[in-house]
Amino acid sequence: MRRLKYTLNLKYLVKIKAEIVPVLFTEHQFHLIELKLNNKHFTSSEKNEFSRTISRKMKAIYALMGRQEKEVYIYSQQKIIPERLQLAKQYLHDFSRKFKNKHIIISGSFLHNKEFKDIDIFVISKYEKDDYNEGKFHINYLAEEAYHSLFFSSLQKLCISNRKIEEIEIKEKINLDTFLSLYQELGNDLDRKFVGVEKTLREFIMQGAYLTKRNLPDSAELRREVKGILKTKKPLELIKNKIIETILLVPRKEKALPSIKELLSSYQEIIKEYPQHENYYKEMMEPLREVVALAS
Amino acid sequence: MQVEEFKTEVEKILEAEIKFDGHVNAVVSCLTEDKQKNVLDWIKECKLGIIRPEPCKNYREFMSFIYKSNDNKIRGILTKEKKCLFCRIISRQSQIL
Repeated sequence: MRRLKYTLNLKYLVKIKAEIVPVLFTEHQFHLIELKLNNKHFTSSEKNEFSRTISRKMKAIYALMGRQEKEVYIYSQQKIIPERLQLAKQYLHDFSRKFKNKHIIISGSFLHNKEFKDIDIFVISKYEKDDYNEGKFHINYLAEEAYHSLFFSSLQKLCISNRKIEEIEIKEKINLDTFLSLYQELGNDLDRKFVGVEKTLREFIMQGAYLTKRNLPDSAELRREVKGILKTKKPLELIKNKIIETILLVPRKEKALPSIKELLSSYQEIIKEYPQHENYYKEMMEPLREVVALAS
Repeated sequence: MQVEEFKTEVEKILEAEIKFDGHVNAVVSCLTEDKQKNVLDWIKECKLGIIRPEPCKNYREFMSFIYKSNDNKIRGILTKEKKCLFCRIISRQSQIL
């Protein structure tokens, strides 16, 4: 019963209803499938009917198609190293067996880059759990809400998955405020040489692309850009250019100008209280001043 | 260190009454002694002006000090009123990659 819930898509099912009712299922059985996919509660007789007829039929259909636990969906295959793809398929199969009925995704440098630190295995789970390493594998749990994140939108562009990934609507709150916060965080990370700077930079690049309605980078593009920026002698200079470019290209940027001006005055006030950090603050203010000058 | 003991220590360092928000209890109780010490050392550096605060965009009267653990899983924000006392700690444990 659980498998059914995870492998069928209600929208698609409704679309093809005329083809499957009454050939495969009766109208009532179709109704029960709809209830199931909508997480509605079954009465005990419905529960019985479901397991006696629908589950059995579904099992038979899967067996007929030879698809049970062998589904592999590959995204951006042209970017995946062929030998790695073969291995990844095997790993996907193994992890699909280990995490029964779970959506499993393999992504990251292992697929597209000669060198890789570990193999990222993503397990979509109802609840968030701590990630862990198992030999060369890094098991990451993602809660179902992650489907609607910017991170997932980028992840699914280059990956292999045991389920078809439908078009995703991003529900994560992303706006110029979150982008400016990331800019501040990034400035800090770079200045103190924080080990996690790559993650912050990845988010910054993704948010910039999203806000300016450009294509979101996949993990290979993201990796190349992050490494490229961090390899330069002055990564902050490139980031400052990105901030200017992004804000100027965001639709209705005029609305953001007052809060950028506020932020600039706030920096001025902080400089008075923390003169020891004046140079840093002035550097962070530079692109914001330019945005105000160019956009006003 | 117990959570309450930790909170007292924070208030002692900052010489102010601090409002502990969000998941502070849950996060602190999961930290090892070493990690708790790292956070306290960071708070001391905030107090001494070594750590740099960032302006808060939507709350102009405040500034915030941002803590991120090396593994990027623990985050904390210490807020301070401009030219005034430290006032609040918000903390969360992150699963995001």
